Amino acid sequence: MTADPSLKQTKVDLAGLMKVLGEHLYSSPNVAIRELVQNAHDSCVRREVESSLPFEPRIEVSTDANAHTLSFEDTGAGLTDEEIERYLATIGSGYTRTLRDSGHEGLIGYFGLGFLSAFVISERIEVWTCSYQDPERAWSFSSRSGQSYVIQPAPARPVGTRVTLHLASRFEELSRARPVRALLERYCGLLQVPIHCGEGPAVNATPPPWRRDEPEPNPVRRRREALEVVRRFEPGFEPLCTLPVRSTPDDAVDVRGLLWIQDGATYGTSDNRNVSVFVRGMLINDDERDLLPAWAGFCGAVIESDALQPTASRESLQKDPTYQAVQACVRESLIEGLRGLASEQPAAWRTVLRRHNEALLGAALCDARLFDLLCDELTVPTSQGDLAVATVLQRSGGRLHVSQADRGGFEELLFRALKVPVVQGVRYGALPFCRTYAERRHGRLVMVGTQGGDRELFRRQTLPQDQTERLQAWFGGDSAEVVPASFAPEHLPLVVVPDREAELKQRIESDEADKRIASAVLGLARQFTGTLVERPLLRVYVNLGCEVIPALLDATPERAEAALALLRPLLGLLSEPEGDRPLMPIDEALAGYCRAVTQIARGEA
Amino acid sequence: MDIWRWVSATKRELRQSGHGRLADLMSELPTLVCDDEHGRVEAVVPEALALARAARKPWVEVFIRHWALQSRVLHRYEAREHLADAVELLEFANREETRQCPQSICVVQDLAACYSCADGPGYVKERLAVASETLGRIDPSWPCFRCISIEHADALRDDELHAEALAFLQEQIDRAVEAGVSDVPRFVTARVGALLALGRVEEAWALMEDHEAEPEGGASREVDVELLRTRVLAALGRHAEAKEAMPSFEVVQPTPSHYEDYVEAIDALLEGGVLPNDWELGKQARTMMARAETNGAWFLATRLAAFATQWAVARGAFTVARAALEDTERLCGHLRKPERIGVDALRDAVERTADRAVPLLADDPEQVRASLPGEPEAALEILEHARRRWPEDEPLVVMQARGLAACGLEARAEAQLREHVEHHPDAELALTELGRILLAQGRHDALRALVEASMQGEGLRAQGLWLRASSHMRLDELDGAAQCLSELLRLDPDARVPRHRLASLELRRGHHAEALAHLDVLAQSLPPGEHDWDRMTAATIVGAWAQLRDSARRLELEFEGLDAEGPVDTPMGLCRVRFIEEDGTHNDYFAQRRSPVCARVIQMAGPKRPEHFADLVVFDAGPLNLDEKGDEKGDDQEDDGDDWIALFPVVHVVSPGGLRCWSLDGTHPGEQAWSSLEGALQAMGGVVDVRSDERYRHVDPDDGETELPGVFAYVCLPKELPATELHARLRALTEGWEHPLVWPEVVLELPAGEERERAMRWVEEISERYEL
Repeated sequence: MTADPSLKQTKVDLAGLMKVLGEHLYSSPNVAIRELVQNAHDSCVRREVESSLPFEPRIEVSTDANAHTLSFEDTGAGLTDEEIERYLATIGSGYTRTLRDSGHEGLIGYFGLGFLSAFVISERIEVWTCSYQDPERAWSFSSRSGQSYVIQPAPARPVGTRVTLHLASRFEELSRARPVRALLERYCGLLQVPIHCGEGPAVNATPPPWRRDEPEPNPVRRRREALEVVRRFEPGFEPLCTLPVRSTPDDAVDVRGLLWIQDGATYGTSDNRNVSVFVRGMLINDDERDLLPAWAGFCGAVIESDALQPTASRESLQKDPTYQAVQACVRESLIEGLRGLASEQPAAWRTVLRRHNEALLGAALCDARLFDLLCDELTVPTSQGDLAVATVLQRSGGRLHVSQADRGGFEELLFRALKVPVVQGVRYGALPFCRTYAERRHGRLVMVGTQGGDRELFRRQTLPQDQTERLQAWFGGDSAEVVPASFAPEHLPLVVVPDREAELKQRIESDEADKRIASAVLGLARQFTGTLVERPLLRVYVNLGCEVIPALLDATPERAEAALALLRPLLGLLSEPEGDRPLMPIDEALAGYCRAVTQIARGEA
Repeated sequence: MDIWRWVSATKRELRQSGHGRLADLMSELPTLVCDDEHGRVEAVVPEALALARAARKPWVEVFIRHWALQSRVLHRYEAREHLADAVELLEFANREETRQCPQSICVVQDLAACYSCADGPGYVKERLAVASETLGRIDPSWPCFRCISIEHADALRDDELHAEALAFLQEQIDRAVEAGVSDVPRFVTARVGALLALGRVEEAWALMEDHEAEPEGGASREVDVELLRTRVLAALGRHAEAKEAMPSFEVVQPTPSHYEDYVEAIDALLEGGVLPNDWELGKQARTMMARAETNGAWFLATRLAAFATQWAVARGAFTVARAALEDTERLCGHLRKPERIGVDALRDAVERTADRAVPLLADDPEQVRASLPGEPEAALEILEHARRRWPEDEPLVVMQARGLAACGLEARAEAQLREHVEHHPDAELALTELGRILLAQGRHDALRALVEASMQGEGLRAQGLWLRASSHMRLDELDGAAQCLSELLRLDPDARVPRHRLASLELRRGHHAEALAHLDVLAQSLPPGEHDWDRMTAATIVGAWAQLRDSARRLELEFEGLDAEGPVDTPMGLCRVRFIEEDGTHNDYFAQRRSPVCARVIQMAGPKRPEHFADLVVFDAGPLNLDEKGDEKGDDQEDDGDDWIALFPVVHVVSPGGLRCWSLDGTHPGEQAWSSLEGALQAMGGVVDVRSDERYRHVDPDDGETELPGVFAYVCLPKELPATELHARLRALTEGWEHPLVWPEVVLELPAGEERERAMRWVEEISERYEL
């Protein structure tokens, strides 16, 4: 067989490279479309830069489902046969790079690998081209495997290039107009050169709002347009409202775009962040979520910044100082945008608050400005429903009672009697939000069920020793420490709470602990429990503000005994239900109560 | 044992058994901890714990409690507050039902960390014993092999045995290699720290450059690495690069585990002369020290105090240096090995500064006060000397206290004031300043005690009551505040500010007549001002029209009816009013101003919110949105200062509109039919507001093609109109329309029963067919 003189070898191991490209460098074969549009675009820019003759830049993408082809035709600079040799057939030496290195902006490509990505999806590629430098001569280039190619003169054609991909069977869906147009809208919607595909206007006919010289004057239409744009980038949720992203002259980088808030209810830590990033008009990545703050799990963004550096695959971005500057700018835009939303679009703002209350509780904890914006807008879950902290404070006389228990315990009874709301501290964000509120604004945080909380709720009182001893004997005996106190409500005579420290001390210092805990670490634990005073495991707060207690202390021993028979069962009824060793088991309490009532009824007491 | 394999299996199992949220939180918690997102850790932990307990998963509970302690102790150094938690967790993790949980080993580290955070060098022996004991129970395949080895090496380094620490870590690396683990730990940060301490800077740098090989450790580790890089670069004499690598104080401040490296790095940069040693740096050190002390991180707090002393000496800030030295000495009292701090050398240095610092003084205290520099440390130096010369001058005492507070020395400010008032029990200025400091710190009990103990004398009682009232206000205790202010006014009926404050309080408490009485007094004794606006508010609520007009005239307002009698009701333009709803949230509505402080709501809320349409309300005339007025807006914002509409808080609803809002939705029936519907609804006392415009369109479901104009409207009707009647009337009114109209909320309000079911099905069907 005679060697065809025009059949030449490409200058790399293409078979290996195709595998690398297809399997590793590019996440999706669709990227080939992006790369070819990019080549066409850069070719138009090149012609504008280099040729003085006027022309109309245009890219036409066409499909032929019967022939299984996908074609890209541009009115750009075209290639001479020598340039085909140099740029199409030599990996990594795209002309764009040469041009950009000489200072021309507006060019997208960089790595010269773009054209090769077409081989990932094609069985055969044909190129017809005519250079503005030599408009009389046209050339065709074709390559089957990418390993070898043929260049030959072609019939005359207008200046520009047409690339036709004969698609591999796996990618035949790309020979249909609709999916291709959708891909083009997504990847290339921000490019300057008009791109046509199928019927209708160019896929990039309408510039996004941030690209416009004159903003749409009608605010309603402005909002609607912005929503339409962001819908293209938000597959998961309907956007509720949009916020502008715009760097200021003080920022280190130029960033523009739109943020939006999703109209799907989130819970505290839901992370639905969704960020699409355009560099030089081309979509680089649609999952660059780290550009949004971690607390913004309810937001999406589409941004454009030519300062960002794509990685080699051009599907993600380099995490360099520029990236951090863009992150900072997006964060500031979001915070400022939320602030603006609150004052300019109150209805949308209310919906945002309703949808994302929990997520915003978390966000407010991460940024002081957000806290200031949100502290009186958000609600926390309480025993009286979801309430703003200010309302909780108002209903509780300036205190924020927070419970860490799911439910039950003496607290529930106490607060039901007090008729004040108790914040459910076990729900996402509620406790730290209340704590921050108390620190930064006003109010006093009372952690129900902790020693500090108990000190707040039950104010200790001093009694003469003989009275203290009587109370101890009546209500504590040897198994509980009785503390004279005063607390609300005044019709609650006593409350029983476990002493967690005393319990811990007992457990850690028991012989049984030696059997199950390693000795050195147990020694360390005992250093701590050694500092705790030995006390009974339960504490009974006796309410001197309740008329029952002074009356008991004043009563004769007989009368006191009769009254105590009715009162003591409360020790069982008002204890924590889960206590290990109750002061009085519930059955004993009920039996005692029945006995006392029976005796009164029979006139025996 | 691979803990992460257990975690992953557990999450899968939790998801399968319907505990997806708990599984999510198990994923998120360690990430948040390692990213220094401690605010969010606190947001997540109570919920995760409650879920684990509800699901009866003690192993998961151990996991969550361990990670909570990692955040609170290992990162935030809250050693004192969480020591009991760590002991409790140790006990819990060694029970029958939990001891097999792979994470149980790690809780040992939590307890050891409490002691190393509190006083690392003081507990070296115990920590080494615990680490050795734990390492004896695991092999290099456990992830905790890495952490416990680091804890062991840290203990050695806290004993200044850096070479031994290096050797130990190398042995651990060898053990891991021998055991054939896939991910051999390299302990880069620990080894770089030890090498730096040994002065082997080049080796430290070489290792540093290798750090990329260490597995990811989140944002927190990044900061650690940046701080180490700063220190190594500075030690190499590359100070400019070191400064470049240094993270900011804002990054470091939230997480005390970075403090020690941070001050070491600052110190190195100061030494290199690339950072200014100024009073703000002193304040940074004090902020960190105060946090460490509050946390019971004694060794760290002492080190920070020592650095603060050293830096203050270097910049000639004697007062601050002495305070920092006293802190250092005091904090040393908490340490088992205080000799590690080198207090004597610091003391010598401070004394040497005292000799140097002799600022010139003016001739009298007043001159001194007038000529103080703005920089607080410099001012403090002058005040210190002025105080020595005029020890009894009360204004100087107060100024010195303010200067101390500005430098972050609040405790000293308090002590100075207390000392002064101890000798001068009538020192009103000093007592008031002391009260203000307590108030600013939110120490309400201490404030109450101060007032009760020291401010009962004749000249002081009013000030005391004022402070108590302010404290009650901060705590939102309106009754207490009102009581104090009333008592104050009995003592001093001419006190204007308290009277105005009491008037505002009475308005908030709904005591309108009382508020008006106070405001009348103010109007008699003061020139026109804010109190006149408040007076108009109170007067409108109680219907005191003469007082309303009097204040309006005083303020030179002009409106129709100013010279008439009876209620003022005349259009005065558009405003917005803010209602605080039952649950404490608020809603803003457009309203037509009818008097200087009264407006009628003209915007419907819609069926989903409490309806205020046609409410006549009295508001506080201080706009809530003054900050939006005249703001520079971006190009694409059409609003500008001219379009600003005042937003006022509603104080009282004079007469409620008594309406309820319903929505109507469907195809527009044509102008004539719609007008007749509107007319009928108006005849029922209703108001209709069409919300849609020409863009609202449906597709005719009959042919699937023809576009039909849509209509969406709110109708406000008297509250007492029963839904059943309204439903029937609407049906009758729209009967015969070609395309139907629906009223979903009315249907939902129908009494339960067949009619309601039928109507609901009808609404659903229409909504679906017309895609409403």
